[in-house]
Amino acid sequence: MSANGVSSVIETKDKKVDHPSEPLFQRVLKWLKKYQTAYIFISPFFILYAIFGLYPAIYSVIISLHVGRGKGLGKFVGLSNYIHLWFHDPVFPATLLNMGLYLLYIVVPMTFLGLLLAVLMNTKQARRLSGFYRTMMILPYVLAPTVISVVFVQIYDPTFGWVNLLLGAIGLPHIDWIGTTQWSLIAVSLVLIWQYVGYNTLIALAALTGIPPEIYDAARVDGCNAFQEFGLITLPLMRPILLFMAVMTTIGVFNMFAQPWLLTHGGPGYSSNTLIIYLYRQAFEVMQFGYAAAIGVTIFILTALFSFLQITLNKGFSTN
Amino acid sequence: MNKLFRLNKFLSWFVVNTIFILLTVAFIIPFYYMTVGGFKEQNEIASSSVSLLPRVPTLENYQTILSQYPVIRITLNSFFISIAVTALNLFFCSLAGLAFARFRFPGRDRLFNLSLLTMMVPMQAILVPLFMMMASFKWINTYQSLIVPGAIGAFGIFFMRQYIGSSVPEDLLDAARIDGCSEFRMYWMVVVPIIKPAMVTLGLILFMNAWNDYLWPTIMLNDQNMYTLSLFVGVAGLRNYLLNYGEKLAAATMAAWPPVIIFFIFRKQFIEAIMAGALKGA
Repeated sequence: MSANGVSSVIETKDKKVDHPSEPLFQRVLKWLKKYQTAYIFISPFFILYAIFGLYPAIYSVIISLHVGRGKGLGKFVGLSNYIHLWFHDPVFPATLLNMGLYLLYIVVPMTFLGLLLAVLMNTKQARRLSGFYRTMMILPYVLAPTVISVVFVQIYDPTFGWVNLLLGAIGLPHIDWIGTTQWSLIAVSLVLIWQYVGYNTLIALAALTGIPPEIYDAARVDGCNAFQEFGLITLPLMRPILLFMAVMTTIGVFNMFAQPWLLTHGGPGYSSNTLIIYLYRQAFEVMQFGYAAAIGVTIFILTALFSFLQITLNKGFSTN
Repeated sequence: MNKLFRLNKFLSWFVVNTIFILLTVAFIIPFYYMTVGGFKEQNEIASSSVSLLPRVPTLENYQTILSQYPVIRITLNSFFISIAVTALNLFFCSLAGLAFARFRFPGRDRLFNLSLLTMMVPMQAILVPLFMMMASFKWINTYQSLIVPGAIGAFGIFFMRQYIGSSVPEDLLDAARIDGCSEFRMYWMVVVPIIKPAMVTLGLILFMNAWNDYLWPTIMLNDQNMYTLSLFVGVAGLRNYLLNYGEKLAAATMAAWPPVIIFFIFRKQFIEAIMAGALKGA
């Protein structure tokens, strides 16, 4: 559907309605009457968004230029919140590093596991039970992050947690998953993968089943084996959907809060801290509203940058 | 040769299905652990041996949380807020979706793209100004603080526009107009019956998101009587002295089951919705 087609229809309709002799006021009134239903139907979104989205977004920037605590803006300090956050705050680079690790531990495995499981589920060996598998895979997705966190705190417990009992059963030492700096970030990542890998699998599966089987038939005639089929047909055709998964997961990682907050509090120390946890603590534990707003603006810039980067990278790959 | 082929076939069948069975077990175990654990005694949960079923099933955990916290009220809060958010979203999103899909008006495509652009700013990034706004409205500890800001979302509009664009024929709308239907009556009598399946799927996603939300409720609500179930579970999980292991699992079970039941009833639509969302993203 081209936008041009639509607008040309509107123009021809307008010409029939408009009489140049009419005064402007009446023409505006007529115009309003003609389109009022459409504008009324879409207005709730724009009104609500203006109040609860756009205004806070602009206000966020203003707050971030002040040292506010509680009510009112407080003193104007220019960019000093940002300067402190980016250059002088030791927690911020540590948290950024965590975000990089989270991206590595969550986005990469989740994208490839999603693809791998979808390919397996699309085989004729799995077809008979695939309805059952799909339901079970998506079950964690339905559960509240709070519920999952409460359960996993116990499953990760160093003495009675089932994960550790399993490790013990195969002769490995117990691990204090959420209580040690070297494991906490991995423990949180594993929970997120566990919760959302089924979702990615379904998305990849939908794209896989959309590939016309004739392409594979043709490849088989040309003598391709299964691995060549995967590398030469499946992977290139799946690239847009893999990118979509990676971008969605990246946005999710940047905005995750409940699981790391409830599992580890971002700790021990700052070992599993996330940007949103940092924002939350600055805003609602230390009441540094200006500083927290600066973190919020930074999160937005980072998310936009990363999504943009992933899309541009993919474009670069596909033109080569 | 034939035998070898058949063996090979069986092996590949066995390997693929074993992988999925093991995964299924991994996906269910935490859920199972929670549901069963709610009926276990404290020392049984904290014992270092796996007990698949409670040795002495007890309702004590449930009795404790029911007597110490307004759990019935909290559950009703969850239902009320989730249903209100879902209903408002379905109504507003389908109206806007209809306008974007089937009405002609100046600026239509530009406004639609603008609405999609709004998804770029995550709610988390504007937490502080939103909180200050709510405080100045005196909306802390109110239902409207959870319902109104989430009453309409760009994703729902996008979803509805796609569905209406592919399922509601323009001729049908023209026929309704010729019959003298007002635009709203046309929406209600002609469009809504057609888009019911899309309303069910979108409604499921909205309901679950509202039910499971934690960050926004934890900022808006600090009065126990206003808590939602997932907030209650989160608070209980966070403050270790509040509840013991079994009680936490009992609370988690209460918060988990309603969306899970709804999911099992509508699992086909739910899975289709996820898979359909994918195709649009590609």
